[in-house]
Amino acid sequence: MLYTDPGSGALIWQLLVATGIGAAYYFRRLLFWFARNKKDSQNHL
Amino acid sequence: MIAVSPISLRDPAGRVVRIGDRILRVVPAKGASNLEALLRSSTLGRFVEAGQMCSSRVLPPDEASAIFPNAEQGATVLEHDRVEFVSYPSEWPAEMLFSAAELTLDLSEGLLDEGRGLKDATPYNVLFRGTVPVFVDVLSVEPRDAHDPIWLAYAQFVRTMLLPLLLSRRLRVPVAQTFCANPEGLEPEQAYRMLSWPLRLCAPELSLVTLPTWLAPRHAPHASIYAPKRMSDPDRANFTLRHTFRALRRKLHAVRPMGSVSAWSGYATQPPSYTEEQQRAKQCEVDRLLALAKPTRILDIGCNTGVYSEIACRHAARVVAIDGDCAVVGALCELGRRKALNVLPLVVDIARPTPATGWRNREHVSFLERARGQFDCVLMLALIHHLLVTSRIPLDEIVELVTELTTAMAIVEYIDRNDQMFRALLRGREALHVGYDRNAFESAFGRRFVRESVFEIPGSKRAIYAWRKR
Repeated sequence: MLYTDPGSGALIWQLLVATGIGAAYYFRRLLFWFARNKKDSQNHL
Repeated sequence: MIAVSPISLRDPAGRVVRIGDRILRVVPAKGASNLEALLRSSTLGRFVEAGQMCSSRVLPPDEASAIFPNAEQGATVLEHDRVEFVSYPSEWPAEMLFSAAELTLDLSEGLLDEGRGLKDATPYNVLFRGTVPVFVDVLSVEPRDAHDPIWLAYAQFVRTMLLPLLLSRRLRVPVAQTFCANPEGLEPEQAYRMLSWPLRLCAPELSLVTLPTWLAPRHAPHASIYAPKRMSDPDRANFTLRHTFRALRRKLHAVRPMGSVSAWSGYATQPPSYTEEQQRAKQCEVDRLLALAKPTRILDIGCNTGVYSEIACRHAARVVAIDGDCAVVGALCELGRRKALNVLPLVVDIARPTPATGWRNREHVSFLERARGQFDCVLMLALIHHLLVTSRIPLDEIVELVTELTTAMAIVEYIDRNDQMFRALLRGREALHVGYDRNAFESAFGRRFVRESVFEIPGSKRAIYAWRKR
């Protein structure tokens, strides 16, 4: 249960940053996927 | 009859009361399952072991119902380990608020792996044992929605920790002063008005103050912004939240106190009123008196940077050191941390001590009420002239205060009105203090105390008196 004031400007700012970081999460996973695929293909050679 | 005092009543998850020397928390039946999980938490156990969280035990039902006969059916009563001397953010130097903020972030990050979080982030959740912060509000910990990437206590952390530290660092506004005027911290809009345009665009001001101010709706915000935001992937929510904590930690380090300097900062190490020999003689005498008296709890009033608090720590289990100047108290806090001294340094002007505040003036107890009778020795060194002249407190009143604070002993430095510092403070008001001399000093203290010894500081107009309470 939350009983503290979450603010308004600070909350909106946190939401915006969270959206950006959420996108960065997928970007990071994509980079990992490429890196793993590259490593796998090198191992096959 | 044992006094029952409410300590925390705003959190609906449980209220805390002090009964005599015991700190008890009543948790309603609906919070029982969360409480059981908390008491088993390995993260909290680690913090308790490190002395950074107060330990708790559940009272047996018969003992609980004997203490709270009207408690709700199924309520649990917890007893917390007591922190000896309670202090509030309005008495802390910036260094202590920084430690409290660091502990809050450590705890928040540690709990993340357990699927828990802090529902609030206020410095009132933290007390100090010496200079070590102790998290005392176990019910701030709650299970978190694994899909939620938002920390709702973010704004409170910014208001009550980062912005007071930011103003202390950038504008030299003491943290204690900020909390005296704003017990719930500063809104970004308040800080925005205090900052110049170039500062508003600097880091971390831009993200802590300027953008939240610009983004805040002019009118009441739409309720939808407060609706829980859920991400489909819990890993993504966790990743986002972890980034939020890391970003807050970076901002906290950007507003880290730098150790400010005031007119009183060099007073203890290079005092204008003593030669090196006189200073050494005074220190030896205080050391000797404390070794003889063997006090356990010492209050050092007007501690400055803590030269005598450090001596006091050699003889007593607990020292509380107070001074009205936040720069010198901050320096003492750093010294205490560096040398692991058991000293609690607080920004308190004894001529205007912290008043009782909060709901019905009972939530936060006044400094004098907390200190009364809690010490068996009071140190008042190089202070009496400041109280007499600068604060215009009559000598008899000073004696009454010392009598209230100590249960046994007082070590007081007598400063003659012909002393160089006394004269400097007088500034032409000599007529106000014509009646103050050695006889007046001795007879005022003599009414309440028995004189044990007098040590004349060689070549000065000062003397160290040891008084024992009648």
